[in-house]
Amino acid sequence: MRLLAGIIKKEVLEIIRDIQSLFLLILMPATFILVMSLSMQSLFQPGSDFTVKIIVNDLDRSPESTRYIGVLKKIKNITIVEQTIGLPEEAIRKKITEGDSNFGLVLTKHFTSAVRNFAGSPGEAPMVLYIEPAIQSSIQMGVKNQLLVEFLKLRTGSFFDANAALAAYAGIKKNNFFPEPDAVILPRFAVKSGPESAIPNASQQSVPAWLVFSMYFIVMPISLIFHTEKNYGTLSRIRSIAMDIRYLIAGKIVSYYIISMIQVVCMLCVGRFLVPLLGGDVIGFGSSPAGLFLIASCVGINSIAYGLLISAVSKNTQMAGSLGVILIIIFSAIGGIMVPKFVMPAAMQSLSIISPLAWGLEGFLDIMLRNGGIEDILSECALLVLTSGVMLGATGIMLKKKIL
Amino acid sequence: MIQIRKLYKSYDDVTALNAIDLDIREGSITGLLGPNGAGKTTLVSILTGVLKKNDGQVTVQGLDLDRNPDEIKAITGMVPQSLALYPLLTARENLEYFGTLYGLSGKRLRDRIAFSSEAASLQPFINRRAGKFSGGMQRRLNLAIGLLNDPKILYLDEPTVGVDAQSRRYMLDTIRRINAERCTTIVYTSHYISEIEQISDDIVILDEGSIILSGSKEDILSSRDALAIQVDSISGAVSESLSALAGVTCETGVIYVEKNDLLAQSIIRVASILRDAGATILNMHYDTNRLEELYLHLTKKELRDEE
Repeated sequence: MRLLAGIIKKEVLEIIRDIQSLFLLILMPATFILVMSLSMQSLFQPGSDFTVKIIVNDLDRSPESTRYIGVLKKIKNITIVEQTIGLPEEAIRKKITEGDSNFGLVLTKHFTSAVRNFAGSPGEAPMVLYIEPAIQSSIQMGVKNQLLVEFLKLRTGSFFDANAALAAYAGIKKNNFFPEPDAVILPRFAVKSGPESAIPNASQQSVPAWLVFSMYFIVMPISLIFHTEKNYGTLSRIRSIAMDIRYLIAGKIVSYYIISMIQVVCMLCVGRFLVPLLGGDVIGFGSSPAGLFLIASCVGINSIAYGLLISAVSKNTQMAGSLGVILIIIFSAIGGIMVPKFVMPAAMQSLSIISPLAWGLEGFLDIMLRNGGIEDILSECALLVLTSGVMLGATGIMLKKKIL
Repeated sequence: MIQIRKLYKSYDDVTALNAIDLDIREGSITGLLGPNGAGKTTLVSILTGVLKKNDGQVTVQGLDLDRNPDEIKAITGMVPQSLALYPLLTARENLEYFGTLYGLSGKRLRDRIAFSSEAASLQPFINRRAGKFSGGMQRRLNLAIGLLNDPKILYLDEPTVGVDAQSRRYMLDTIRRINAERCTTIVYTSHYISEIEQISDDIVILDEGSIILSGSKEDILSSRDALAIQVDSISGAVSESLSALAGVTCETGVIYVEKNDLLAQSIIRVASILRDAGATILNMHYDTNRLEELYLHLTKKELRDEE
């Protein structure tokens, strides 16, 4: 036990005194979490301050078009940056491509007739929408829907005005015809068990993702220490000492596990305390602390096994660094770390099942987002432990062949 | 103390050690000398249990290396060629860590750290990180770690590479003191011939995996530094004539011409007298009291770049 404690002390001291390792394990993921949580906040939070900029060019110059623009001005997520009455099409395109605006809305001279015409065919389009190509398709769709809804409201209002007597006879009230969206659709988030969680926010999406991502970066200090020991001859010195080498490996695993858990606590604290301080959303930990500990432990052990395997197969620190990081990035990309899995095509989503980072992320999301318990993460934990065993076994065989 | 018989080691197709036979006396300092790739480090690595041999037998204090590796390791200390320490740890933390691996704890560990750091003259810097040490201090820490388990046998593989003259002198003095005070058997490899000459009781010269010379320093190095000319027979009168020349002495069948500034002239005169006497020169060689000359003579003077 004293031997194990000595080995753990040395390994932990080495990591916490290595600025590069601390940067990779703590500062880099904390920065990712802060940046991603704050920048994605508006996308995840309904009714947030996220706005799109629109230039409106009114060619109709009618009471209807003026009323429509007035309604658009009141919408929280739309900012009309410029309102003109005869801007050429080229000028609109230029303003969008130069970043002055995200959208350009042209109300054509057919706008009024489109609002008032209830009998004939739709005819010419009453609006043309210029869109910045880089705008996400979900935002494009949201803006188009919003413009359409407001147009239909205007058109319906016009219908009511034209047929006020008929509406009164039928007992239909104009103001009730278009109720508020929340009165029609009540959003509820599906959780595994327990009470329904708060609306998932950007922090809850990004903290688990970047936490899992950063945990695998333990490959860097592991390989650095391993290859330094090999190159400096400390491994040779250790082999000249009458000690069971398994203690050395066990000591390393326990040390890195402690570092991993410190990393988890730090990242969760960043999500819980630091992100809100900077105006972001508070992260929830779910309702199963044991489940959270279990999935964190399984991801930690898997990342350590990965680090040891990469160290064993690589010839030097440089090779371990590049190979280790490249594989993490590939597995992150297909595992839903960088881009949420639900926006991926079906084929890519199927591919994500081969990524240990995806198993870890799903486990964290089950606990933190879906309010799951231990029973909900057993399959992910089993996969992580199983692959850890395979990687550690392979590492042992390689080390025995190459070094021990 | 250490008996090596028919020791054989190869890496793939390259023979690193070829049928080595060697005895190392208890309490002696044995200097292992040889050019790059001679097999010095391989031999030390096998003796310390770092490498496995292919064939042969090694016994240490009657213990077989194959059957009792841990017992042998327990009485063995090693100071490897590379700096086998952790730069991010302080000297004390390095010593504590390796002491723990040696199974030391409590007062015994503290005592051994105190002894080793004192022996390596590191006590004033013991709480400084090893990475901040100068090259000489790192080498001394490397030595201190090797002394932690109070070894009966201490292997030092080129322990003074890259250190200044003062540190080198200090380390050699320390090694000699440990050998004298604790009767530690020391096996010392070095590229520095002067170090081996200075420190060793016994000298082993290795080349291309084989021992080409071994023995006590006294036996290996002649007392004289002269050209030895072996002749068939010379009369007493010739012998007297030769002995009359400055720097020339005659012993039975051998004429020694001292190696000094007059060597060339002396050789001409000796050759002239021998020719006049009709004596036949059987052999000529240098007898040297300098290890470097002997070493270069035995291992040839060509560069030994490793492939």
